[in-house]
Amino acid sequence: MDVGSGLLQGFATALTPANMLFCLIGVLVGTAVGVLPGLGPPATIAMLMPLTFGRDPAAGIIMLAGIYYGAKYGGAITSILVNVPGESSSVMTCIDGYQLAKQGKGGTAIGVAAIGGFFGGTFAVLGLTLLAPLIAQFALSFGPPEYFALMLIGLCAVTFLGGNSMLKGLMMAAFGVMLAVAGSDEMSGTERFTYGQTNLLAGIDFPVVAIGLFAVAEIMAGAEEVLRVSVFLPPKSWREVLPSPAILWRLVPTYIRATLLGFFIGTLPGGGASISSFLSYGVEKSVSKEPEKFGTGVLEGVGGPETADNAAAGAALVPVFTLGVPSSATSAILMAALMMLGLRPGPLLITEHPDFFWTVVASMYIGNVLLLIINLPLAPLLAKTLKAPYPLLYTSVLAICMVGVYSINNSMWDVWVSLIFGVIGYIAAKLDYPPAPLVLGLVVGPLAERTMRQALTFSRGDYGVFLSSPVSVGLLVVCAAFLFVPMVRSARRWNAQRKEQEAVATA
Amino acid sequence: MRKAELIAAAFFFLAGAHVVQQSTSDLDMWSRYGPGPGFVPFWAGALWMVLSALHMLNVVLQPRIFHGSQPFPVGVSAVRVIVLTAILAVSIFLMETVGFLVAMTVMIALCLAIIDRYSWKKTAVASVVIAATCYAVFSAVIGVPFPRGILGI
Repeated sequence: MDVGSGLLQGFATALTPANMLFCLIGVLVGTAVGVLPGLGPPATIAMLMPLTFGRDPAAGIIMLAGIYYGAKYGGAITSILVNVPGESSSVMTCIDGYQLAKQGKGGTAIGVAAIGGFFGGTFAVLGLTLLAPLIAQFALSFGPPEYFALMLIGLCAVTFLGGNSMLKGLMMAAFGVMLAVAGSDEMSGTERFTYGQTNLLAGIDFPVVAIGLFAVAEIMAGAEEVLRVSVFLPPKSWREVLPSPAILWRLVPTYIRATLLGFFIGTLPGGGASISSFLSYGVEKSVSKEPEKFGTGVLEGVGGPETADNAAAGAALVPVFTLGVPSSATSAILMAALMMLGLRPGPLLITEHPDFFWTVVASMYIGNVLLLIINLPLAPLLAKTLKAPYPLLYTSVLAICMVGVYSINNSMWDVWVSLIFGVIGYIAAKLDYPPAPLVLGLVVGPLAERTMRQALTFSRGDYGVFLSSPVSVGLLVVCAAFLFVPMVRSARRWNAQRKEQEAVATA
Repeated sequence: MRKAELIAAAFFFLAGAHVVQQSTSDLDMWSRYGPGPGFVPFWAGALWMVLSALHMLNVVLQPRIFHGSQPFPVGVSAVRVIVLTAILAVSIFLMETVGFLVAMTVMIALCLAIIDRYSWKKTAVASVVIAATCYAVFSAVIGVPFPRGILGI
């Protein structure tokens, strides 16, 4: 099936009332998740995943993907009006967005962000449409050694998701791999680390862990103090949100630069939306004729990061669909959702399930249009949701967590496991251990183990098999770079700290 | 922060050592044709130990001024987190006895009344509405058989 006919067929399926409804629910929930601080897309996707079980996989992924990219749009509203990033990737939007809100231009900033999001998001889907079949075709020639190297890249990418410490990120990824090996070994049937617990025979389900780490832990952190959200001058009518044609014309180069940057960064393992929005802000500041004005309320400082953020979110699905390698916690959860719905992410996905693939891609074009429609005229209404009392919000999230976790396997064991991971996630966050690498290790770990054992079985234990093809060698070199670059960076930081200490001692 | 960091790293180190020990004593490292079920856990556990040891070394050698302040909350904030965790644990414990819906309603009510000091009237209305809505959506949409308790709901 070629791209054109595949996409047309995809639109035909995506435009059916049922799929449109799932898309609308997904983008609405995603926008709400983005707007409301405290609950991110990873936890929401994991919580609502049971609602997709037993349904058409395309409808399920349409909804979950809608939550994923919908949250990007919603995050801008909170960043601009409350100065609190609804999403980690919206941090940069706060800087100029909040200043604009203080000057009474919050509505225009929201409009600029929404239009940029639409621009970046739609271009990313276009990139997915054109690139995914090509990459998948290329990856069809991969054998277990190449796949193992790819999975290793996925795991090494945690060095960029690891927050301040590469070591902590790697430790959490190893923790995830360890959790993944618990249960019956799929190749030999041997029980591993079950400690006589029959509940552990099937392993630990990743949504149970994700809900604990991202939702329960977040609520525990929120319980520390009474959260008071003060919304700064929300727009009163949709007219305030719509930017003038002159402003839009001025921002076209910003949108183009940010889209290209976001898409490129988003496709890289470990790239993610946060890095692209940070870089985009830096690029906009460096090309600006008045860089000193950045931070005082510049529309380019809002449009750039938001466009890059949305472009990166769409681009992150390219490696998931074509190679089966997630680049962030959210895309790892989305990939695991694909597996739970009976699909195998990777190069065969497009050839074996073209209807599914093209329907999801088409739904993303539709979803971006829906999001623009929702975010421009409904921005004043969305801003009002920020005034919802936090206690009612977190208790609702807790209730959804409980029923969501129980629904996965109809098991009270899972509810306990989720609470335990909530406590672990809370302690980890306090000690600055990032949760995303753990989820990545849990999802990618079994795939890495399977491909590694297959490769070594075919080669009868000869480790040289991993260096037998140029692709595999190339991927392993990339892996080494992923580890080496942050190591050099850490060593430099360490040296700087030492010098600083010496200076303090001599002063 | 320094003490907490060291305790966490030591915990990871011991967990890694346990995994390595279990992989070598209870599982096969190699099978007839290739790596056995103990192969990956062994190397992952060993990596865990190495990373934890490196982190401990990093914490010990790092100048004290670069260690942040107390990472965990104290006073009222700590009490609020502990109370929330206790409410969750008790509610989950009760789910099979009193039923999922009742336990969930109690959980929400306790959170609102004890942690957020809502009035009992507001608490009662909010907890019943939230719990019933979540329960209805999941049991109606995907037909989840939630545990029923002594009240039959």
